[in-house]
Amino acid sequence: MGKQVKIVLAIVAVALALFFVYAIRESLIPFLLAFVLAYILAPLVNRMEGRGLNRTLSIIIVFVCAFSGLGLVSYWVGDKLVDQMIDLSGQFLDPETRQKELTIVNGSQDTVKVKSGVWVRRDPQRPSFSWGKPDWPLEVAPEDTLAINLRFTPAKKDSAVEGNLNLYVDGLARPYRLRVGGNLTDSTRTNWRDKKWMRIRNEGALVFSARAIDFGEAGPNIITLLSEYVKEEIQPWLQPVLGEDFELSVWIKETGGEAIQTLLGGTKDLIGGIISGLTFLVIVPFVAFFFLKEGHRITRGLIELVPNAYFELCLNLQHQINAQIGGYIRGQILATSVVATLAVTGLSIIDVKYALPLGIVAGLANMIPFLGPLIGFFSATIVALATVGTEGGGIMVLHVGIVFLVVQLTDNILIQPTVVAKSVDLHPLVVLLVVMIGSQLVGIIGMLIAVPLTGIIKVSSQTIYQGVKSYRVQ
Amino acid sequence: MALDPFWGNLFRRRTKDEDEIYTILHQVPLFQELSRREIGKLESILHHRVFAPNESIVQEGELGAGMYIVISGQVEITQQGEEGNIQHLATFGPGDFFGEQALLDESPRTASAIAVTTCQAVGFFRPDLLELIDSNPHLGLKIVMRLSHMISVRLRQTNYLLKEVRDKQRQTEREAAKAQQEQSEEPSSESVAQSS
Repeated sequence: MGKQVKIVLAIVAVALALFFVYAIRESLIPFLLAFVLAYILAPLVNRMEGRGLNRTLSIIIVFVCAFSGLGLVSYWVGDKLVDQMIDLSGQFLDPETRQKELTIVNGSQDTVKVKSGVWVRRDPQRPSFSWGKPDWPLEVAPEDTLAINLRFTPAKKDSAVEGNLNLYVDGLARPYRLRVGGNLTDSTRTNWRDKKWMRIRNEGALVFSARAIDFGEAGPNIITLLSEYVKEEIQPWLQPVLGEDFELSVWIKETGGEAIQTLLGGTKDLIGGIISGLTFLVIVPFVAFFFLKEGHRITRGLIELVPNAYFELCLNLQHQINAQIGGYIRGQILATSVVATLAVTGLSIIDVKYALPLGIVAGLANMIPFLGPLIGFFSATIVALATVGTEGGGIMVLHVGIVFLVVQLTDNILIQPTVVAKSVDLHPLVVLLVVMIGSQLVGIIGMLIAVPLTGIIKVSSQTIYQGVKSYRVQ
Repeated sequence: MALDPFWGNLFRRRTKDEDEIYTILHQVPLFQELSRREIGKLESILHHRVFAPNESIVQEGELGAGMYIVISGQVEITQQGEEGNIQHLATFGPGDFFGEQALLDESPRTASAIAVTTCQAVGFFRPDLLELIDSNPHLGLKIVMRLSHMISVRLRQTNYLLKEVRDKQRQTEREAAKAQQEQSEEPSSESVAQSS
C-alpha cells in the first residue's frame, strides 16, 4: 500500500470520526462537563487518597462537600440570580409598546359618527397613550363594526399610568368614557376587575367592546434608554467629529436592537437548556464519579494499546497533557470565580442594578483573552447607564470603570501568575469564531464551552508537538 | 481454574502468573522493602509489555521514561563503541532490571536493550512514579529512598573505580616524569652517545 493511499485513508477516517462526533454532539455535552468536573475535583480526591483513604470513599466525601457547597450557594443567590436574569433579559426583550383594540358595533339601521376622541392623561409631558391615526369623524356603517387601534408606550417601565379616552359620538348625550391603564400594580388591577370595569358596555344601539383597557406591562428597553442618554448627553459633544448627518443615538438603537435580537432571541434555547440542565444534574455527577474512580484504568487501558516503539513517548505525553489540561481547567475556574465574585461585590457596592448577572457575565467573559474584560465592562456600563437615567450617568460610568480596573488588576497581579496554563492565549478572532461555531452547533451551552474546549485542544496539541519534537531531536 | 467461568471470575485468586510477577518484583532491589500489599499497589501502576525476538526495548541515545524489569525471556544489553562497533555488555533474564536512572531524570539512554527471545517485561515509568508520590507519599518515598540508595551505592563504586584509575594515572604520570627527569639529568651521556 502506497503512502498516499495511507494518507487518504487516514483523512477519510478522521473525517468520519469528526462526523460521528458532530452527529452525537448533544449527548457528548454531559460527558464533557463530567470530564471538566472530574478534573476540578481530582486533586482533592488524590490528596485524600494519599492520606490513606479509600478512593471511592474520598470521591464520595468530595462529592458531598462540593455539592452541598453548590447547593448552599444556589440557596443563597439562586433565587436572586434567576429573578435578576429574567428581569434583565426582560429589560432587553420586553415590548416597548402594547397594542389593544377597541371595537364599536353598530346595531342600529343608521350610520353612526364618532366625531372625535380626546385623551385625558395624567402625564402631559410625554404621552403614554396614542392611537393609530384615525380620520375624524369615524363612521360606523349599519350592522358593521369599527376597530380603533390603541397604543401604550410609556416613558418609564416601572410606574403605573392611568388615563381616560373620551369618545364623542353622535347621538350620545355624554362622551363615551374609556378607562385605560398600563404597568398597573397588582392592587390597582384587582380594583379594576372588582368594579367590573372591563365589561362590554351597551350604549343604546352601540356596543363598545370594553369600558376599560389594561394594556399590561411595557416600557422602553435598555437599548432605547441608552440611545436616549447618548442623544442628550454624548451626541452634542461628538457631533462635530461625527458630522451633522450621523445620528449616533439612532445608530445605537438600530444596531443594538438587531444585536440583542440575535443574541437573546434564542430564549427558547435557554429554557430548553435549563430543562436539560435538570438531566445534567443527574448525569454529570454520575459520569464524573466514574471518571474519577476509573479514569486511571481507562487511560491505562488505552495506552496499553500503543505499540512498543511509541509507548514511552505516548505515556509521557499523556501525563503532560493531563497535567496541562488540569492546570488549564482549574486555573480558568479559579480566575472565573474570583473575577465574578469581585465584580459582583464591586458592582453591588456602587449600586448598579443587576449586579449579580453582570458580574457573572464578567467572570465568564474573562476566559476570553483581551476581549473578555472589555465585554464585562461594556455590558455593565450599558446596563448601568440605562437604569440610572440621564442624571449621574457620567459618574456611574466612572464608578463602573474603577470597579473593573480593580478587578482586572487583582486578576492580573494576583490570580493569573498562579494559574498554570496562562500560556494558552487564544487569538480574539479564534475565540469569536469558536463561540459562533459553538452557538450554531449546540446553542447557548455551546457558546459557554467553546472557549475552554478550544483551550484544551490548544494545550493538548502544543504538548504533543513539543513532545514529538523533543523525541525526534534525539 | 474453576469449571464455571462465571464463578471462576468471582472467586478469583492470584493466578500463577501474578504470583510469579510478585516473586520477581520482590526480588528487585528497588522493591525489596515493600510489603505484599504495597507491591500489589505498585503493580497497578506498572505496565506489562511483551517484546518479540530482536525487538528493541530501549534504544541508546533516545530519551528514556523509566525502567524495565524482565519477567520472562532474555534481553541483551549493548552499547555502541567509539568506532561504531556494537559492544555486548550483558544478557539479562527474569528478575533483572535496567533503565532505573531514567526514573530520576529524562536523559538519553546510555545503552540499548534488545529482546533475544520473546520477552515479557514490566515497565515502571517516571510519570507514574511522580503520581505515586502524590497519591501515596509513603510508598513513593520508600521507592525513591531505595532508588537513591542504589544510585549512591553505584556512585560509591564509580568513585572507587575512578580513584583507582586516577591513582593509576598518577602513578604512570609520576613514572613518566621520573623517566623524563632521568633523561634530562643525563643529557651529556645521551649527546655523547649520539655524537659517538
